[in-house]
Amino acid sequence: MKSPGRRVLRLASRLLPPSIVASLIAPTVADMQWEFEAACRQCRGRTRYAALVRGYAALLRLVPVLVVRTVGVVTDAWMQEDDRAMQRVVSYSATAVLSCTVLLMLPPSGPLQRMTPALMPTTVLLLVPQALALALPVGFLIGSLIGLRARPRTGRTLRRLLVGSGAVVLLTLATLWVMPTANQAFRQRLRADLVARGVVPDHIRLEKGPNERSLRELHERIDQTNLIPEDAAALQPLEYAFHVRFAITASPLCFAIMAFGVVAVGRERWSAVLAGIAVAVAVVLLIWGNEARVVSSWSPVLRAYLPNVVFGVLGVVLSWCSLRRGDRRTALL
Amino acid sequence: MPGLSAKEAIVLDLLRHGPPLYGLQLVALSDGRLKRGTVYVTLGRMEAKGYVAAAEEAEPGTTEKPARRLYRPTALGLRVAEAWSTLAQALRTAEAI
Repeated sequence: MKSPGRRVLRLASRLLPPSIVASLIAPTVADMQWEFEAACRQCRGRTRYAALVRGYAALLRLVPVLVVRTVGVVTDAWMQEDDRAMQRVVSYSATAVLSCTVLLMLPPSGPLQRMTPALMPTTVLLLVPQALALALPVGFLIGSLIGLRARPRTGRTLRRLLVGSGAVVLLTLATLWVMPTANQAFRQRLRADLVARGVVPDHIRLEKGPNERSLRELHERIDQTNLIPEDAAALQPLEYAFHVRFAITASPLCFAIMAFGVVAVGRERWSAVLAGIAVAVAVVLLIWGNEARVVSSWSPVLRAYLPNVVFGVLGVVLSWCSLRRGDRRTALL
Repeated sequence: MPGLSAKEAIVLDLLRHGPPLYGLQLVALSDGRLKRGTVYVTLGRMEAKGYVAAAEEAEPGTTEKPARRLYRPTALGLRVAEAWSTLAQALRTAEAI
């Protein structure tokens, strides 16, 4: 007679950590087998099936617990392997993103001082997506630079950092998708309040700016502007706004490679200085991209993607040098 | 004082008044208060806390037919259960007054 649940046990032994199999799966399967054998001894078919149903139902009920436990055990093993580097990256990045979001919300919230105080708290929330879209990549860069300091510099850490940056890319993408609607809603609420209080006249139209247009709207506007040669000056900000959204979305990937390279190459003492320089370069490149002289003479596509290119290339070179310098057999595992 | 959840209290209550029990027996004796799917989660947690100890049955298990585990309370588990039941009784008396 074949024991029920042996396939489940075999599969679990392959997929799950041994401690979880021994403490949860094996005793549940053992109970099912015992109950099934007892029913077989009594030669009662219905009881036999009932034992199987109860046993497999108990195993099914364990699934959520198994998922949580397995994630916990695997994550814990990962944390131990790279000396909690990723845990540090996540916590420092979260703190940096929060701080950057608050800082970036300060300048655009200036006009709110003229608003009715009761409307301010809900209106200020509409500024979050715009601030968060920039705070996510910059915060992730700062968090990675601090989190990876004095931690193992292996290919495995780099791969995990890239997976983490993928999650930040998705978050940034979602934020940038919401941003135009939130920006326009912010402006409309502010205008409606100022008009109601007679601060500004009602006839002024609220035209959408580049940051208030979705990607599709921007694309349509660029196509329309291309048809009118007199509007060539209006084309640049639209093209820049279009490309910079893709650039910002991809930036966490470039920043991750850059952060790993900077921390891996620099010695313990110098990594803090190099980290500071890297963040400063990122900020300078962002400001430079919006400089009036640069705007008129440089291509908007180049201005949008240059920080990513600089950080990506530099990061790849530094990471490659660091991994080559170490023991390649163990580092790239 | 070491913590004791409601389910852990039920397990200790069942174990301290009788012989060592299997997980399935604990479920049967608990009148539906312990569920078959999660009893080993509770027992595993209690084992980690040192409230119960498990021993495999006399017949050794194989990879396809694992051995059942017999649970008995430890000295710490008995003392924790005792302390919590004393506290619960004191609270009930205070409420009655």
